[in-house]
Amino acid sequence: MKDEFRRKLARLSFEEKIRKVGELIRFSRKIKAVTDLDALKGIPVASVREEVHDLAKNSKK
Amino acid sequence: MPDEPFAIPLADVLRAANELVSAGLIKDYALGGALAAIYYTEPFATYDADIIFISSDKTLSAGIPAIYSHLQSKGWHVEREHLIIKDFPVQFLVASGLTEEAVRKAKRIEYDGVPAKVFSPEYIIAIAASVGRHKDLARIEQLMTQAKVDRALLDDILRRHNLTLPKE
Repeated sequence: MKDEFRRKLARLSFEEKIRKVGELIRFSRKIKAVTDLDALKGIPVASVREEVHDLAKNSKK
Repeated sequence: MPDEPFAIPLADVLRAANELVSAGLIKDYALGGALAAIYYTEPFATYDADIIFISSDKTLSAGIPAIYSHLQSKGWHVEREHLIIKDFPVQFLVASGLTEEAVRKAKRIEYDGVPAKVFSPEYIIAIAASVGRHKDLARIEQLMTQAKVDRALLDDILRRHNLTLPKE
């Protein structure tokens, strides 16, 4: 199932794949910014969880 | 925290590389590295683009100062080994040997209406085999399972460049 999903992603247009890579970069930068900001306060788990949820939801579109 | 959208400016990168060819600063180029692999595989995170070029200048500097100066005049800026466009790092790497052959045999594509060239999967695999870092081995596995690889062509490239695939 997982392999079939990965192959399906591989068949997307190059433009669409590059758009998804952009999303991954944005997400990882955001995670980094959140962790940098909260390094002394602890990681805001609820906010990170919400981001992960949004990313998962958007990737299904 | 504001949710800033981010789009990889790949069309701008390819347009700039085409301009370098038109200006005679480079002879030819192709997209290599992770973004070339993504042309054939599922998308995965990468933080820069690699443009591999055949230099017009056969001196030791390979014309890199002129390339940098041209791109800087177009609004790019330099940050360590990268040139940055729209917050996205790009490396311009001089082709030689296997990578020069990969540029010459690269697949012609169009990205967002911009004509360009991208390394073929067989050359991406051979280059990954020659570098051999953990991420290169993962890339080989990914291409072998997700891309249409011409095995005869790959074997020929590997043989001529005295390379082997992992576990062979």
